Amino acid sequence: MTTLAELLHPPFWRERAQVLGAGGSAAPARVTVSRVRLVIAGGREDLEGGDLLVVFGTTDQHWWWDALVRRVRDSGAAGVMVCSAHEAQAGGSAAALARRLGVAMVMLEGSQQDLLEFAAQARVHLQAPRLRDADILTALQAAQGEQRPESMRPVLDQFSALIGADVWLGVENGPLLAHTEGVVTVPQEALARFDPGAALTAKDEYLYVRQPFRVGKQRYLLGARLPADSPAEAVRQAGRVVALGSVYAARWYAELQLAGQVLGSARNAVLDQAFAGTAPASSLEQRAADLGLPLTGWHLAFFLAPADPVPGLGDVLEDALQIVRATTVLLPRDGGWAGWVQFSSAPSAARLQEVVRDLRAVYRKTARGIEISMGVGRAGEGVDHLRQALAEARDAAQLAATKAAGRRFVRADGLGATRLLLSWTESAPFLPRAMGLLEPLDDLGAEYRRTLLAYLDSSLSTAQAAKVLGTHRNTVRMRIDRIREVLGVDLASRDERLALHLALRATEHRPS
Amino acid sequence: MDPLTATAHGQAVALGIAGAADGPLSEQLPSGAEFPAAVERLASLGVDAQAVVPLEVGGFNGLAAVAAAAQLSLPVLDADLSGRALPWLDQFSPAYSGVSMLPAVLVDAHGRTMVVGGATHAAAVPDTTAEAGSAADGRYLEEIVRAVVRATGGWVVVSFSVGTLSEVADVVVPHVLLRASRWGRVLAAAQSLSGLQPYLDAEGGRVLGDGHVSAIHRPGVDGGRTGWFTVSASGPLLRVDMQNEFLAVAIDGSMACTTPAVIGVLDARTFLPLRADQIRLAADVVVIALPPSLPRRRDAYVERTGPASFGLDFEAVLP
Repeated sequence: MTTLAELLHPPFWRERAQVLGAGGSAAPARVTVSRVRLVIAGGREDLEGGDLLVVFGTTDQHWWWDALVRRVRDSGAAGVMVCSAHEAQAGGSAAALARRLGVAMVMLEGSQQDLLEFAAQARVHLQAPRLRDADILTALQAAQGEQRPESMRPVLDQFSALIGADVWLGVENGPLLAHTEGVVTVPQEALARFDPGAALTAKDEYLYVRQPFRVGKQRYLLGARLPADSPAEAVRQAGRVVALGSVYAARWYAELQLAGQVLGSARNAVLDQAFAGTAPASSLEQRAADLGLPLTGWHLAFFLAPADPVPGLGDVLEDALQIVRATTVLLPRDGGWAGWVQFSSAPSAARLQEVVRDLRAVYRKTARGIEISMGVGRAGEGVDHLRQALAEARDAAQLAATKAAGRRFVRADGLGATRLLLSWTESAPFLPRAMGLLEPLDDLGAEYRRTLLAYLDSSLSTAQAAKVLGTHRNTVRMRIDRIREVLGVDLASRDERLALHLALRATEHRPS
Repeated sequence: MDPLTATAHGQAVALGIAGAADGPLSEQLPSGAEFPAAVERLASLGVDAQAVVPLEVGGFNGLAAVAAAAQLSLPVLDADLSGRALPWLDQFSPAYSGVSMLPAVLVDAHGRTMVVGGATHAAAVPDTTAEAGSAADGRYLEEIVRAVVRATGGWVVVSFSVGTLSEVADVVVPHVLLRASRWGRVLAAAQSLSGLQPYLDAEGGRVLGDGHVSAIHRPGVDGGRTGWFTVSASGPLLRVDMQNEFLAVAIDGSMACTTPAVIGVLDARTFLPLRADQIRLAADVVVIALPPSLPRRRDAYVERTGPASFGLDFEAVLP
């Protein structure tokens, strides 16, 4: 809020302004002004709270001045300003009344020209927040015109500079994604879903001003953290910055997602070729290196499987993986996020232990905001081992998903018999037969395979399968009927079901 | 004579002095023959004067009409044409009651007599209604009187017929003389503000405020015809707008009372009323308001005598 004192602050005005009413020179600090209005003496405009009335001219209706003072009091307007040239009119009973009613009446030494000049300057001053908005927009436009920044951090730093407070960005009810220097954590309550408009004073005694925005289905929050005793104007300004900044951030994340998808599919293609062994090793290695995908050396594979798709999860995971004190690779794969920790040489048992602890920390950090399970494979060397290790990690993640929330972290080393059985389905004698069994489905499209697997996974519940697939129950039922027809199988038979299930599992991640 | 029950034959004649009531009248004393001369001249114009009515009860004119009636051995109507004191003839009740103030007789301080005649044929007056005609005649008389006052040195007796006694109740503001004399006695006897209160209560009047005159701006000082003064004490700030009469009182900037209500400013020590020109800085005063005495044509009266008729741009507020 702008006070009358602020408007009168420049020495040029301060030295010439004499406050006739409202407790003398101390009054302007208490009077807030939201609008400067030019009024012709004798006029009958409706007044509004916060109006500072700059009065021009004189009137033969002397009583009008008293009535004006009264109207200012009754409407909660900020006050009256006149020039000394009109003191004879305004300085009489109206000034006495202003004193009595506590209305700020300012006599400006000079002519009407000076009044006009004051009014113009005061208006500019009142517009300053909007001018600052223009600064924000200009900064954003400049940022958008340039190369897309690598991370949101420099952008947040810019926002922070505009309001002189820390700025952060997070997933709603999820982890913090980026923040300026001063912020270490943001309380969960500040990341919770909220009704826009209200600033939150959190348990940590800071004031949080937030703006939610969405990218796809994901909801983010851009927020500013201010000292609890910040003036109202600073809070409003922070509100404007996060509101405008959120538009930029939404675009940034949308682009990131797109870029992530492009990069992810390129990496997956290289990885598939490497696993299939179809491309010459030398060219493959180069392409993999270009995409930041180390295929040689030692690795420890892991797999992160969110319960539901979470757009922007890649960022969250990349951020969480900072915990791991080694080079990591992460890419979207098989409906989740696959990755591995890279070692230049064979890791010692102690080193492995340390890395697994780090991975567990990654899981714990991520699982705070997102329902997710994590599997870790066995450490090994070379592309072939990586393929196996990734499959192991994925299986482990699937197994982990069946555990209680917060404990969905499984290392393949501990899988034992389950692991053995699953690995048998990938053996040379089984695979060709499995593929042969399912071949008739190829004509129907990939979704029929997924439907059958989901149907079997969910113990023949069409409702459960529909939920997993994100389709309608009737669609699942219709597809299952069709599959029964094409394959000529009896799903009522336990053996046939088991055979199909194993075949599907074995061929699940191979091009049909 | 009560105007509401008057049944006698003949006409009522309005009498009064126009011009500055204070200065010139005390410097250039009337001889005492002016009122009888005026009535005599009216008689020659066919006016059968059987009663006298003052132009205005306020100030000198209220008593002057009583004196004239005594000289002429005529009864005085308990009424006037203004209900208070008014500055312009066209504000007086005949102007909006369809009664022409013409012909009128003016007599100056030297005994010179002037007749202001009415229109000789109806077509010459553009107004078609009797009311508009009487208003036009009132304005015309006001213009003539102003000019004559300037030319003859300060004041002039004005007299004209206000119609037959049997119809006079439709024209005058009734019962103001006795009301004024009653208030004269009350104020002369008043010892305290609380002593005044029962009389105010009985008439629906009120004390608007009291205190000392803290600022004063006399009429005409900056070319404006309206002046003001403020009365302040520990309570609300009173502002009284005035010309020759007190016209409006605002309490803390809100209009509390306006003409045609009777606004009285009393010396706080003697409780005697003060004229606008007697208001002095730092004087202790009491400001009171009484409801106006109203003629039968109430709305027209309020319109002709309200704030707007004095050039004040707000609505009338009556106690």
